[in-house]
Amino acid sequence: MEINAEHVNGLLLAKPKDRIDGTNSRVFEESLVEAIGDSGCSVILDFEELHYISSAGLRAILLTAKKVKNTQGQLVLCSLTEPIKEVFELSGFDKIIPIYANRDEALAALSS
Amino acid sequence: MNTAFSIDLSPDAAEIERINSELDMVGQAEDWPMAFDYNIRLVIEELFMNIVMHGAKNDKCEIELSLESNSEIVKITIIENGVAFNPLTDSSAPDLESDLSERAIGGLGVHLIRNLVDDIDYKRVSGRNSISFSKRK
Repeated sequence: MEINAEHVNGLLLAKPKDRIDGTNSRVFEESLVEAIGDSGCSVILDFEELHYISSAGLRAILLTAKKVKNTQGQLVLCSLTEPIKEVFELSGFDKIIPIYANRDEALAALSS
Repeated sequence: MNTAFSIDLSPDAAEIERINSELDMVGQAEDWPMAFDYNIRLVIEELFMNIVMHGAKNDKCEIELSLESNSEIVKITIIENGVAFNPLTDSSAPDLESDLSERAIGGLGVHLIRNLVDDIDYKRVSGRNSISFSKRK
């Protein structure tokens, strides 16, 4: 699966495309962890081009957010569609993973 | 307009793509709104992956997924001959409260299912698991 990861100002900006489901969630998680690297960094997951995520994808994001926190970084999300945002809220993930309206707000929050 | 389909699936995560191809046709024909379309697909995937991970212990597991739809409601039924497993009662409760470091993983699938359907029912009939859910349009 494509995650389009790039490093910007010491952050990793990743933009997963289309779907994170039971067929590709492991590949998504491995690609993301590889892009973060051993030394760790904060991560913005931009969901602008994501239109589907299942609990397999939520699991991958939770595991990655825990790893990022262990290296003193923070994983945040931005640009969620309304239905995906609802699923994050139902899962209680909005209480542990910051969600921003767009990429600029996420960048500003992590830079401050 | 009434729509119906039925497909036979093997207990393999890759079958999600085939399920989605069928749903693409119904969703487009009936012009499902984005959130409705997403929620139907999500509930089906969660139920199907539960079967793949918990119910199906061998390749002889046969899974039949059927859909019926009318102007008011979509009803999905999944019947399979795996070991007895009721996801509504046999799954662990999700952790929705702990902070990030302590947050336990698991149980979210069934939690999402319960919150996204209007009605859901599990039966064990003649050595098969049968689970049906419906969602109003």
